[in-house]
Amino acid sequence: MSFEKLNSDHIACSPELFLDTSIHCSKLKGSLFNDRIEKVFALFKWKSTSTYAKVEYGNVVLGQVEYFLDKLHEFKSLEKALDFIANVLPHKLHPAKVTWSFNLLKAYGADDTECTERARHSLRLLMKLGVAFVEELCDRPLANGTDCYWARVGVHKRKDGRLEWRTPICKRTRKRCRLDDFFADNKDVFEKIKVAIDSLPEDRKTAQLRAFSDVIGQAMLDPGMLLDYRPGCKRLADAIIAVDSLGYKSIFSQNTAESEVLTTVLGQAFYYLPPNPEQGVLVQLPPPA
Amino acid sequence: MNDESTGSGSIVPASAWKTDNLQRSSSRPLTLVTDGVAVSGDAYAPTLVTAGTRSTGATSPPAARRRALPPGATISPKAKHAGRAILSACVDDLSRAIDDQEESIARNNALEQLKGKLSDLWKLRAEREESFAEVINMLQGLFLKRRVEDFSNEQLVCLRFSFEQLCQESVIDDEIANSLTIRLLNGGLDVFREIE
Repeated sequence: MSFEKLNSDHIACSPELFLDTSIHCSKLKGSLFNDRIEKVFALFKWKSTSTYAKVEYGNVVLGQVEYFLDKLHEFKSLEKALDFIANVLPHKLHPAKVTWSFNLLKAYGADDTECTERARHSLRLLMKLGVAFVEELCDRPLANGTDCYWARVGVHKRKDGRLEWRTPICKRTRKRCRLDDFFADNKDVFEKIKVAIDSLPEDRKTAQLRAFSDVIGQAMLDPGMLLDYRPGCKRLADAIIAVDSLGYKSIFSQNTAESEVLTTVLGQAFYYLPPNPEQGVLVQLPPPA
Repeated sequence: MNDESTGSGSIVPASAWKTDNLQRSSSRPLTLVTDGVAVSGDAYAPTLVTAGTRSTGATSPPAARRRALPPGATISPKAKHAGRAILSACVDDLSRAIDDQEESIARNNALEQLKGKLSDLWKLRAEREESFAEVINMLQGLFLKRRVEDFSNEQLVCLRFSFEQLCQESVIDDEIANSLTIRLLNGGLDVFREIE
């Protein structure tokens, strides 16, 4: 299968579109992304996603928002916070913070004091909305195969009023979701994904695809291991969302390497949003049934 | 017990003093603290904006005093009334913009007036709760670098509905701010665009 560029004659394969977490995150980027996202949305009648995407959105976006709020609190200055991120923070160790500072920190106001105040308000509003941002971009109901506990918890408000996104700390000793049951119910699909990954040439196996294969292999023997966040659930994240999208025929994502394999296995059309706007939107159609 | 710069005498009863209230260091002037409240000229006229601290003469930008009321503070009836009056005028501006759909100049004028009123609301933030400032900041962001043609009538109707809701609320809390944000997002108004 291969990609073709989305053109004005394109007719969507289905009335519904399933969004990967990367699209929710890209909605907070600039017009180079948003214009193309809207173009794809216009092809479909309704959009959905997985409740698990909320956790990933929290880890990617809300975690950064919390960090930026901390920096504004520490420096009491947007100018200083941006200076710190640009010139003090080691970029190689924190590339996401640098990238998201461009998307989330904007100077708007008469002076640095007002810019700081406005930046803080914008960030707090985004934090207060929390994972509901993911839900509001879609039509209900969302796919909820795992009934993820952390997606229900959302942003936490501390006693001092500060808002925080807590990275999941789930343990198998305290089951709070049905990820292990979800895996057991869809064991054959996960197995197909593992076989497809294992049969790829070595140069196409990304670290994430290798992790999927590894975790699926372990979970075949013991699905309960998935309930431990770091060694299980976290390493299988994108594959969990992909299997939750099983009933959908069209997937929209910004991750090419993983989504290309996963949508092929699941027989779905893959709408890919490359970073470079000159490439527009690329589509990989499933083979005819 | 005189404040040296203002000449005002202390009105703090001696019973409110604590033994560790008097703090002096070589680099800082004498500061009296009573139950967490610094006693200076500032304490007696908290809403007066100057270019510095009246007790020490230290300079600070006036904008630093604009921040919203701390949580739990009472909003004065005057501030509530002023907010409601301006919000109500915003609804009128939006109604004119919606009615003047075909008249681009009239529509543009109505939206320009709306932006002016949003600036007036932003100036009220020091007397209002934090969510009020967050919401007004978000609404101002909607009009940043956008032309009147960028708004559809449906979006303006959604915006008017949101202003009508705000008019009815005497205090804006997190729940109201969230429902407003969600309504605007669902109405096709990209409220987080200003942070791009």
